[in-house]
Amino acid sequence: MPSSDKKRLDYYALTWRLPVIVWQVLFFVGPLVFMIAMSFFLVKNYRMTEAFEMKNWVKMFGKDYFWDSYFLTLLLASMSTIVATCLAFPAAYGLAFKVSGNVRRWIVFLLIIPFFTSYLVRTFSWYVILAESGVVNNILGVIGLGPYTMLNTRFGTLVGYMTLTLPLVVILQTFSLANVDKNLIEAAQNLGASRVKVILQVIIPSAKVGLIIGAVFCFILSFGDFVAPYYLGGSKPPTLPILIIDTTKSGQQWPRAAVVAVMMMVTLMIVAFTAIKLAYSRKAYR
Amino acid sequence: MPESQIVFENIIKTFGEAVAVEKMSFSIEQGEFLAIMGSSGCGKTTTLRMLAGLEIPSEGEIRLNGERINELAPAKRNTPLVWQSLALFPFLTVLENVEFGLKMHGIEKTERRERALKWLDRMEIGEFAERSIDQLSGGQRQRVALARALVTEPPVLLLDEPLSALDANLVVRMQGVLSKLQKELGITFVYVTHSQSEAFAMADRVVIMSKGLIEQIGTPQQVFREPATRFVAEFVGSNNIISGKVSSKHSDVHRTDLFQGVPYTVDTDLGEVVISSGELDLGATVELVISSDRMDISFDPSDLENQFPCKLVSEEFVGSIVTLLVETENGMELKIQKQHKDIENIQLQTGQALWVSWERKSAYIIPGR
Repeated sequence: MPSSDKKRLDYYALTWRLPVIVWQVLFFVGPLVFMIAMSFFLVKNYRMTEAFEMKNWVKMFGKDYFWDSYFLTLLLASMSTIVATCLAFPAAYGLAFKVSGNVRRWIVFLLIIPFFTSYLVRTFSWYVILAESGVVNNILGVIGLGPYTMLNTRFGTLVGYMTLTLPLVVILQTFSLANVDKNLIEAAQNLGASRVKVILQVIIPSAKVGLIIGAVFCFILSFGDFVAPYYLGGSKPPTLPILIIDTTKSGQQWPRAAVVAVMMMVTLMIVAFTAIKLAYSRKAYR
Repeated sequence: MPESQIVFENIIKTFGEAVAVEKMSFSIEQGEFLAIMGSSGCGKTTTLRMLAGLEIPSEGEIRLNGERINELAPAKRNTPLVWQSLALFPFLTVLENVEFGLKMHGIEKTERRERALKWLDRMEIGEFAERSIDQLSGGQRQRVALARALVTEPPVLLLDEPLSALDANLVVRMQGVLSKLQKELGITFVYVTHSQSEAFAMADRVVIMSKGLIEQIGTPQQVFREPATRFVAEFVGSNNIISGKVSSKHSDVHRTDLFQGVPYTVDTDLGEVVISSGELDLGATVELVISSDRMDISFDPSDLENQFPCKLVSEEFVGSIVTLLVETENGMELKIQKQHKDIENIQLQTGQALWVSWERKSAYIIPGR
């Protein structure tokens, strides 16, 4: 009978989907709900007790250090996104349009290699390069410049963010640029567009979705990164991920840390949602 | 005498080892509708792209209004191209697409808007100005592509198989639109196509290309009735091509025959065939081209010349015209086209014995090389 057939098929499909659903519920939805609930708990005598009070939220929102952290993190992640997007574009443009498909494949492979090494190791390696007695300052010293302080500055943090995000952004941009319809580029040239105008008026609008997705990834990774601001940026003032660690360490304030985490989630959701909406927006609707 | 508007002089284009265009010379007059025809890979699109500046010739010179343009950047020539894929910008509205060329030429906003709208109206798509491209039908997109190319008032319009994606009815309609536009504007159209019907319906002259070489340039009538080479005879129209050797010249020339040429006998695989032609050398190889609409069939032999027994292999009905395929006794296949209305009352059966014949003046002679 058709109806029972359909039912059996549904069970079959469900069986295959079940592991993913169980995994998501156990390790994503569950903790998320718990984290939101925890942000309303209270800590009494260094012990967390179940409650439903707004105290943590009021406390955190009332502190200047929270908002300092919040806007610093927002600023650093935005700067990281802008710098990574601008640095990656010329490289991705070259890979997409100026080299053969074979060369492109090799370079994309090379761009994946950094991910083989631990991000922490890659970050520490910058110490050797950026320290006051490091490689960069030694070279600058030869021509009578410096030494410059690069570690424990925002510059250091940005270098760390680039270590984390730049290869990924280049790869994402390369793929989206390589998919731009070559006919459109020729059509623009044919209609009198200069090289710069072809890039601004045709290539960027055509690759808009991929470019924005690359930027969103960069923002999410930078916003949530703990390593770069902690080890290269000196964590003063702390960014939100560092603030979470500090809060949990001092007086077992897990609920307040949960407030920070929820705020981070909300911010990332708003940013990602707005960006995706922008990426797929169309000028003409009628 | 002033030079033609566009001149190709000894143009060669190679891509690495591959030769796309081999030593090509021809010219295009101002206001002409020229079709470049050939099968895929013959170099017709490369020729067009060289004219647009999207490919640089390896050798030779292209001149536009007497000036060498070989290396001139595509953006610096006013030679818009209508792409086979149309290449409309999907992220712009219809109006913005049409405005694009004007914007690139630095024309300010109100003027370019006005000019673009005028062209949209002219192409009868003014009401879709604010729509996005994916909301249009194939025919409407075609019109947007034309408006976008013509809005800058170019001296030459290049078209690369622009109608190949449309369905048959629409093709005929757009052919009318294109012909009318070209006459009204008085500008040169260079139209690349593989379709004989499109080329013949619109073009003043047709260039037939094969393997990077020009086989023939002429009016549609010329390439249809007087093909210069065996390739043209096979590519254009529906011809029967019979090779043979001139064996004798007839001495009994009647006065009336003189107007049509001298009768010769040619030895072919079919047997002896009588033709009438200009002077031919005895023993020369010739190709006889007999259009399939100039062949006749009958049930019984009569006293006609060039008559051979055959049997019907197949009958192909494509609307008003029927193509009959017959096989002669020595295995040669011949095509015969008849109006359907002329043979609908005759009962033809596959395998039936028939006689095929043609008049001596129906054979067009291509001298052997």
